[in-house]
Amino acid sequence: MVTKPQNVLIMRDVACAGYVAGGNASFFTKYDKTHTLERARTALQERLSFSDDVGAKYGSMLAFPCTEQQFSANQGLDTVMSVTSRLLPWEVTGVNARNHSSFPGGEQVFRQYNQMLGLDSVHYGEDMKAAENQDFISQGSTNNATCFLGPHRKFDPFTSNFMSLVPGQGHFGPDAIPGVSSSHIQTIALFPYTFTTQLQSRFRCAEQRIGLTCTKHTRGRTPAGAGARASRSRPRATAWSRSSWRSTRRWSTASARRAAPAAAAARAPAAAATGHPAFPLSPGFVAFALLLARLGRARRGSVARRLRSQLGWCVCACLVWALAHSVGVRA
Amino acid sequence: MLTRSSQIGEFYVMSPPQVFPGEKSMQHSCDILIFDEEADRHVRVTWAEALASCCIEVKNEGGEVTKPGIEGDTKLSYATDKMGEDRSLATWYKAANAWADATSDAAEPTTADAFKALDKDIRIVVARPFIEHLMHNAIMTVAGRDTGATLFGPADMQLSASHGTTRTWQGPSHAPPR
Repeated sequence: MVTKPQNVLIMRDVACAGYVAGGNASFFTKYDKTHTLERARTALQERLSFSDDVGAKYGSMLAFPCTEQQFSANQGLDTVMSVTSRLLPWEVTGVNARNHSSFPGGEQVFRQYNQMLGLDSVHYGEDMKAAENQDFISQGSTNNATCFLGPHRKFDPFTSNFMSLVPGQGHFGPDAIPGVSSSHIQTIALFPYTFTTQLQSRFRCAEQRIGLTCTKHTRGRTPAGAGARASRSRPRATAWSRSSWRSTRRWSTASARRAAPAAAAARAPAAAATGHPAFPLSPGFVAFALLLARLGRARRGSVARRLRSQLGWCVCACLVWALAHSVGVRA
Repeated sequence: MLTRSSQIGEFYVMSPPQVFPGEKSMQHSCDILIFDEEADRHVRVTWAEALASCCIEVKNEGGEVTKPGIEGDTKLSYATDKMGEDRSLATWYKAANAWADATSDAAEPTTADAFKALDKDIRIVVARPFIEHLMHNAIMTVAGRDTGATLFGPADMQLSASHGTTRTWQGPSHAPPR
């Protein structure tokens, strides 16, 4: 029971829980390799009412003619537009009130598309009272009309990969990273990796000048539509976080391994300098030389007989050898 | 869980190259790459396909409509410098189609003079207005009894707060424990 409502804040839409529809790259107008307005009108209603299965493939995109002059005009299109009859706040008031100047092409073009596509019918059946009051829950669906500039890549002759990113200025902000599948995150998600991958692919195939290979990248493809959201949202949630990346960079040890023999060679003079002579001057070598001298002065006979007669000297020589060798290795 | 379905919209601006990329480097220079959330990959949207999706009517030299669509006589609010006073969609389509011819796979090498003749202020806006996600929501409150309280009671307890100044509790009507 809340007794002080001003102490309570509902933070709306703070995290994505799953994909439903509307985010693919298919045009509403397209059907069997042809583009018609009649098809677009039908496909719009099919998408908004989910007339087919919830997980079915629907169209998502519309295209409109425009000019650079509309972007640079004061009353034109900048970073936000409305695709339906619902106007933006600054289009309602002012000298050109009720003029849909943010629509690509302007007011007359909007009227034509509105007539042919039925854009005003997008908002039919909405709970207007809930929309006006910005209620959290509305009776029936509420369809969007406002579009912000989204992240996309376009041709740029001055970059090494001939593509540059136009950051999105809309709902997800300029830092949103497109492409979050766990199987693709190292090849698509982050921009430096994306560019590296595209660059390599571009040189493999001459016709793919602007990273075309990415469009053919189907490994690990996930099913489309709302039916896939249960299986898709979970791997994305882990791959999206930075904890899935290695916390420290692993440097290559190849250079260290190459330098190891040189370091061992430099160790011998250093050992001599610290009082542990190298092999030719070691005490073990001296003991071995004395043993050979004793054997030479022993009685004539086989080597075995000579060794048996000098058994004590042999044991002493081996002990000295082992002791000297162990001291030398530690040094 | 406070989860509801929400839609957002994005648009992308397709534009021709503003500087001459080279005689043999014109192909696909008007295209854009956008992210396809269903296929989980980047997809190239070609200028020619976007132009076809604009569905602007096409007439032959005799004035007969060969491809129906948005009327060519429709006036744009803002024409390009090369279009001049002619703000019709038919003129815009002609200039945009010239870019489609120059940047297609089968295009001939474009010379610098031919590039200068093209209208570089032509744009195509690709809109994706109904991107729909399930979105989580959260409730944030100030801590303390001042904000409110969580009440526990029998299932048939009723709380009435219909009046502005009078809040009454109608307690449970169950029998006392034996």
